Amino acid sequence: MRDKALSLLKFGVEALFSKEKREWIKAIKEVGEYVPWKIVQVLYESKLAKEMAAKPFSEYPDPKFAWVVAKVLEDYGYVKIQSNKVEWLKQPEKVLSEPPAVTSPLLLETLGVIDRVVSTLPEALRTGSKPLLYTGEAQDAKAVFAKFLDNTGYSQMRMMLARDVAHMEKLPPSALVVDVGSGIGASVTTLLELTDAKIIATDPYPENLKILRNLVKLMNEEERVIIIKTRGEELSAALRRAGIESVDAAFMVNVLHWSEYPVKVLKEVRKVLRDGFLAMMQGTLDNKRGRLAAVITYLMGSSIQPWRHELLKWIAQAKFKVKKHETFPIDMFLLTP
Amino acid sequence: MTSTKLISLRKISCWRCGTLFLADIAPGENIFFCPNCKGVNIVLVDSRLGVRGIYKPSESDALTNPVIDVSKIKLKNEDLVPKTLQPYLSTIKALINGDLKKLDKHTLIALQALIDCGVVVIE
Repeated sequence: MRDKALSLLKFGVEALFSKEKREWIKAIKEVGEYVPWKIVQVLYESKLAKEMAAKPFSEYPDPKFAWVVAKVLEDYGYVKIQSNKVEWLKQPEKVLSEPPAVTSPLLLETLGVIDRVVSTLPEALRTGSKPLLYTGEAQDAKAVFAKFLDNTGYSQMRMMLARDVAHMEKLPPSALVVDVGSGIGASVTTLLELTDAKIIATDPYPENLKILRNLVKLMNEEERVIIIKTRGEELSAALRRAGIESVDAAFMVNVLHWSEYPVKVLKEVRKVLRDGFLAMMQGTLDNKRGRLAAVITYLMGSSIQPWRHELLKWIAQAKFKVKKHETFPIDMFLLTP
Repeated sequence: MTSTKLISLRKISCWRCGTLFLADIAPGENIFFCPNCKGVNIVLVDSRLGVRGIYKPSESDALTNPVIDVSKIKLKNEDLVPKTLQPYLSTIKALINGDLKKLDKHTLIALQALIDCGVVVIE
């Protein structure tokens, strides 16, 4: 609780001097108004708004996800959760007649992603299927995923982790940094911009790595990047096959809820780090923003983000020490062996 | 002493269909789309503007991506262009609209990335 208050206070003070952070505060406020409103809209149009008031979460294909959706609506004052169901505090018809204003450039940039993803919510709730499930093949899912990963707001969060939490700009040119779960390369571009180190990009999807390779070419940084196809769960063996025994630092952005065995991923990162540190961003269910993000990423194919106490347990199981922990705008960690 | 202005216009024979087309070359690697078959021609030019070779992409170190048939590409999800590729969007739109005949190496790489992201589609 004290950590959370300190994180928020620190961000607030920095916002007094930083336009970027003021934009962030505006975006967080507007995301918190727009996304829950959009959820109400799709629930109403698909007749799920009424259904959720009558049917307990346990009767949905994924009860935990149904609860998270309801919790988001409760967080923003639309419903009250009672007896495993929702009770509407505001009539959805009335809510829909008052759409929230969207003026934040950070939100406007990702509106296409939010609208497309949230529109798949009824199908996910009813059948458990995810029409925008990211497989690396379906064109629309790829486009949504690419924009979700590579936009101004998310890039700024990665920079906050790399620069403000981990001070990675201080790494020498000889340092080797592994980026775990690189996706299409948004974290790699952050690390290339901030540091002089060599970067090992890793991801299980060859389609992602192909895009990543081209983004690195566009930055004329091919000589600084090694690309390895691997799951996080097999990181140490994949690095060893490439002749790399250990690295000086690791970077990992919202990977664990996309992983089958999150503790194994953390243990593998711990294994390849002799000294050095892991800079990690990981959404949790402990705050409104995390729960909102959980709905979005779940619809794209992830599992539901962990609670913070679960995450801290995983960190301890992998024998990492927490050197730094920020909780605003999202959980960010500096972990050492 | 008189200076000689080097003429940069050359007739290039497309490696794919053999069509001769006029190209404005510069020293280094040049990338041209054949006006007939839309095949990508990589033209290696020396500092005296001599054409040293015409390559298809698979034979060149410059590109490892397949040939893109420009007449068949379409910008499908403009609002989903990733931030990193945004600077190339206006040039790529000009290419798709037929207002541009030549792409530099970086824009061609960005175009390939947009295709791989599912933002630009090949019909």
